[in-house]
Amino acid sequence: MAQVFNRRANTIARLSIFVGVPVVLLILISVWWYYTRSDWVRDVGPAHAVVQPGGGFSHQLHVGGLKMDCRYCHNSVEVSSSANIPSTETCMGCHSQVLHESPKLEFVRNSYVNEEPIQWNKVHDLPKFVYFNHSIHVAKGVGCSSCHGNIASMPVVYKTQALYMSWCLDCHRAPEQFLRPQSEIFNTTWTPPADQIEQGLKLKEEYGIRDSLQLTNCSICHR
Amino acid sequence: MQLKVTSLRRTSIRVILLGILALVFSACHLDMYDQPNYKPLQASDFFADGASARRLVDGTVSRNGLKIDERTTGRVGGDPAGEYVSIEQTGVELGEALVARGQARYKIYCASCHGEKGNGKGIAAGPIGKGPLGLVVPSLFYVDEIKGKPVRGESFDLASAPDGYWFKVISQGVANPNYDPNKPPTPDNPRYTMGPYNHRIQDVNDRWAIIAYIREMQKNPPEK
Repeated sequence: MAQVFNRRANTIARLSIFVGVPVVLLILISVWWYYTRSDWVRDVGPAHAVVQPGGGFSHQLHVGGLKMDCRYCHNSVEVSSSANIPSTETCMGCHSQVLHESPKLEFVRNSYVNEEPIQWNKVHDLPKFVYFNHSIHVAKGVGCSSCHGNIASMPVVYKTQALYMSWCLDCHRAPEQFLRPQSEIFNTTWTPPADQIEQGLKLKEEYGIRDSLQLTNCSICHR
Repeated sequence: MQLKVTSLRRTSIRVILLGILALVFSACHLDMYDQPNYKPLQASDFFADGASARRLVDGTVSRNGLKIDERTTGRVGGDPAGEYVSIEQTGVELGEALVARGQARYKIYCASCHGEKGNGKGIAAGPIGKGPLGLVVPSLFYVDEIKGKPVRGESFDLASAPDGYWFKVISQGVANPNYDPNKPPTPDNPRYTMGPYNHRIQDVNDRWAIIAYIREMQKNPPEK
């Protein structure tokens, strides 16, 4: 009786174990990583810039060029959970006179005259089971750019962080890596000094930041 | 008999598998991601104008403004027709801390137009001057530059305006004297020549801090 399997079957069998199994595993891990950990699936990076109505508001121009403070428009960032999106009246404070005929700003003028709110597009949309408060972070030494990146360089704003829970916890476990003095909070190009950990620990003490056990308590962020 | 046992086992395995599948898929619904409540400024499909943030009812008094007095209005006794007060009459704690706070707030909210040096030459002042009204942003720190500059509806000039008047300007802005309410508030018919800052500088103490800082700078203006 002839052999059912010829000699080559041995090689194929070995290949399927030593190559096939890892390849399948790799594919599975990649798929899992893509859907749970990757930046692409979370729309991070310039390729996923969020275009705003009327062609967009340029933070690069207003913050980078005109050196406006973040809080001119996001005025409740120090006192409220929400940083605030400015009302049309804030835009019109200048733009009723500046570039008053620009077609790009027509939607702003229409919003003001017709008293209809502009529908800006959200860049970061946290799930509603996450409690996040801007004011406490700003007050305790977390600067804008730690989460939002260098907004002053962005003509169209995009996410620089995927906002995974593990990313939140990285800081809640060891905030000294990221803390800055109050004078640098709104500096969009802040870079940590060489002795950041040392400085950070000092700031942590000054700000009276709780220990990591309390900061990683579930109910800190899930209320 | 043997056959029955096998099918029973098979059925029970199937039931368990189904249960696991049900558990896996039931965890996939997104109710908790998107709960039926509003985040600040979220769009609404309930209200006709599409905004979840509702306008304040006329006559609403903020919790910070419950007490109507010199500090919250800048006028004697909080009377809308009362005399303007000076900052000393408001009960705001004066001193270096207030001036420092005022400096920080000034840089955020005032410097774009009035300039970091208070000379009326902030980065937006030039473009504003080229607008349909040709507005001139006044100097704030250099008193000699605003001496004799009339203040509409008041007997004093801008250089000798009392603190309470400055408070009014920060809070309510400066109304455009030629505003026609029957026409839409387009760029050639704006409501204000300077917009109100009460909703941006919400804490009245911060407004007094800015005034304290301006007064300090008027005493000792920076080099031009």
